[in-house]
Amino acid sequence: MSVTTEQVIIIDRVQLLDNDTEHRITIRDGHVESIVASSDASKETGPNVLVIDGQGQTAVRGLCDLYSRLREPGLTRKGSIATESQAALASGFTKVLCSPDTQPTIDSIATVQLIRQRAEAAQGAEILPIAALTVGLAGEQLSELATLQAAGCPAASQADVPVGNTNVLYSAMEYAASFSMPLFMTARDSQLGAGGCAHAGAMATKLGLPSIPVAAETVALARLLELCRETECRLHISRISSARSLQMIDAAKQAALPVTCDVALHHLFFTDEQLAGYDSTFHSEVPFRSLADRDALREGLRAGIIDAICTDHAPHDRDASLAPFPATEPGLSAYHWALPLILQLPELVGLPLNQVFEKLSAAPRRIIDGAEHTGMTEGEQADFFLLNKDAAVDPMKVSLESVGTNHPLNIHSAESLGLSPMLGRVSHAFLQSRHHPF
Amino acid sequence: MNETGTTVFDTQTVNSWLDGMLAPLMQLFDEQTPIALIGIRRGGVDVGTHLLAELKAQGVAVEEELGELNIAFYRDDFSSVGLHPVVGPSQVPFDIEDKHIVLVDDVLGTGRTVRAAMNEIFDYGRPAKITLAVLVERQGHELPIRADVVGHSLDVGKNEYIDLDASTMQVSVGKKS
Amino acid sequence: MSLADPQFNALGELHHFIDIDGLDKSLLTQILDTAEGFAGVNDRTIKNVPLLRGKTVANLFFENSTRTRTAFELAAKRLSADVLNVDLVTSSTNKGESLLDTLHVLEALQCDMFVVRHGESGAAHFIARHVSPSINVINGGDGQHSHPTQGMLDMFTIRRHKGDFSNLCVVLIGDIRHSRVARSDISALVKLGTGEVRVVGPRTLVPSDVESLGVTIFPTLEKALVGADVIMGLRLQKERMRTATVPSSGEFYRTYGLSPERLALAKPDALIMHPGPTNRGVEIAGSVADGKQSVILEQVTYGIAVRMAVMSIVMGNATNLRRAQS
Repeated sequence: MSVTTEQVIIIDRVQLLDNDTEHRITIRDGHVESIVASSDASKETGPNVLVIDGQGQTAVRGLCDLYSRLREPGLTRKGSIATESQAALASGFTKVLCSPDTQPTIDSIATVQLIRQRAEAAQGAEILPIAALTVGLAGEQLSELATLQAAGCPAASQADVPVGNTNVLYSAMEYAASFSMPLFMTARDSQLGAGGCAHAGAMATKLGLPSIPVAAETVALARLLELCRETECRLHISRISSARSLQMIDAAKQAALPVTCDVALHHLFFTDEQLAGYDSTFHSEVPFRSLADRDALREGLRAGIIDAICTDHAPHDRDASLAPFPATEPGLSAYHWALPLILQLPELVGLPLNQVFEKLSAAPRRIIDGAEHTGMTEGEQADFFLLNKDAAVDPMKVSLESVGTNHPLNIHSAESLGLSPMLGRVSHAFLQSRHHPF
Repeated sequence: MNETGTTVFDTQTVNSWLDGMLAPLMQLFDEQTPIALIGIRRGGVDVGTHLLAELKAQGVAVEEELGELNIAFYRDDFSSVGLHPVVGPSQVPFDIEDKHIVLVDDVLGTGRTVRAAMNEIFDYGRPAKITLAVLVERQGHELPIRADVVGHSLDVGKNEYIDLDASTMQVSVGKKS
Repeated sequence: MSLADPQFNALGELHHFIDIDGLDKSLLTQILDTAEGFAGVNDRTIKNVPLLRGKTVANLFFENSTRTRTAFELAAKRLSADVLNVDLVTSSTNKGESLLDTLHVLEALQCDMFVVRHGESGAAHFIARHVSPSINVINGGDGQHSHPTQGMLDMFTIRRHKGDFSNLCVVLIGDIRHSRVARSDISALVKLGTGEVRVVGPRTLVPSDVESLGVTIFPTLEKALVGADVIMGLRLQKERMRTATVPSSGEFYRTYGLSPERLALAKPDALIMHPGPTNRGVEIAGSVADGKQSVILEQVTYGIAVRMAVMSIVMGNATNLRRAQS
């Protein structure tokens, strides 16, 4: 992927999400200089001016992914910071929070620095490492959270590893609260449903798969919410999967607890029924649950109980899926199909597209630093992308962008999954004073 | 021959073929060796039932029940056409050892069915003698197997079928579709 | 929406026998009818037929089961196939060699059929999807999912004694949750049009969503047995006793054990079945297991004919496919 170096970039005749008249966006030295109606002024020309015809395209603020796995350090056969940060950018994500479940886990300054250096060299999406809440994610000793925060970790998390010891969890939340460091926690009991690989429902019963009941999520969620009440820790529930969890989070918000939550993009689409025939592309660490749960998640997003959408990106090498279903490694390689799926949400959820994108750009940024997104504001650094809503996804590009090909849409047609055609591609991205044409 | 190109031999004709088999068959029996009839499913069972009844009516000492063979598990074409539908299991309700077995089929063609049937018979025991009795003999032998007793010989080509309708005891000959 | 059923070949014929779910009634009936033919063979002094002469059947057992392996071995030998027993429980697959590598080695040895027993649910599906198309796969039990030849031999036993399924009331007792035998039996019974299929056991072993399989959950064994034509016990694994699943084998017998007194509640000619090995005094009283209504040993005997039927049908279909493709 090339990066252009012109001093001035003019994007002409481009639409905005909430305004479909044609606009002209001028970027000078990486900063947004002006956003005006195309008809308003005469166009600047010159040797250092790049003009992009934005007709038929929409400028969208850069997306922010609250939960992704880049697999580096340690698991680079599955993906690397270079490949995955490019894949993220090609899907409109300019900022990506990466899970601490690397090898080693992100519990030391050295690992944070390594990730940041690799990310800078990669020139893809901006990468922010999430600190491991406990050393090695072992759930025993706290990581140096203040140090990691200062080194650039916007949050701390236990990834997919529950903390069994409530004493440790209580301390961790109190300690994180001392530095106003948000905790990203996945609600999963350490014992109930342990060893499971599918939602406890009719499909798991039919297939004889070890299962994970909804209570494995809600029991853990209740514990987290009660500890949040006591510790006043900024608690972000990562990747909820059930209707009952939504009710609990709604009640917690009503009670003014400092709680937010997100849902993984694919949980808004898929259900446990799709495991029929042991289709391991639907094997997800947070399991796909019933149709009723899926519909409740859509409603929760519409009603605003769910604050944000993350990708839960989990690329794998081919060997990870060459095993009987329970032995396959869970997770979906999400980036390649993320944008077309996002573009189908307005119809499925009942939210206008700009509000759907809000859940993927402004909302996640508020969760990590409370700041408003300024990437398309005059005078600020440009951080947005041009979206061609009608361009088909190129299946051949999957392996070029991300190492992982483990996603249902890589083996099933959209139609067979009950989805509209997969349309939506990024043509240009602007971030950190760089311009990426795709 | 009727309008569809099928030749039908009526009940009377077919019964005369059957009756004609009895005398030559009985000539092959000797007093020392007990006799038993085995029909090859399905047509051979129909012919065998008829022959057994006639033999009993003539006072011949013969095994009370007809043995029935389903040769699906012995056919030589498994590796080219797979398993044939199993039309009821083989039933040989008597001891075969040292008996004179009259093996009955409706049509003798290539001889491969008889080969399979004889293999199966030997898995039940060692008969003293096997005699082959068929209602109709046609051309196209592929093995050194000939019938000892034949009801009727028909000169039909490879692309024609011969079918015995057990309910009416009529034989029809027509072109294979 | 879901992956294609790997059991059928390009002609729509049964190529692998993995799961009763996905087969229709006529195919199940064909298997039972063919098994009748082989049952006759097994009654003879010379018990083999030349059908699979020159074929090689590999028993790939990733999980110990002497009974099932022996039954498959005997079935293959009675079809005159060569049998290769590959004990994989202690072999390299447990030391990091991938399952697929093992399969490819056996393919290279030019086996024609794999009989697979594996501890993971879905393992047989996985293997069927990845073997060379010339190989037939028969599921000898995968995890908690399916044990289709056991299901079919149970159906064969029931049909021999009771004939038609439509008026039958069949009761399955005990560990439905973890039992692949229960899943295959339920699937086969439902497809064959069984009048009523009841399940009974503590809720730790009978999850509520088993009703989605087409059965009715009964609250007590006593209620479930009234009017029963067939009573199927299931093995309660030792590791499930004395845990949070079942407090003790004694309590299990007191609540769900098939005692002579309880048996009296069923129809007088009710069949007693069990896939074995039985835990006497846990699932079933010794006197009931050995009693005149018990057909537990017949099940074992018929298992040979049923497996011969399944093996010869799928291998015959492989022949058809080769012919169609040439």
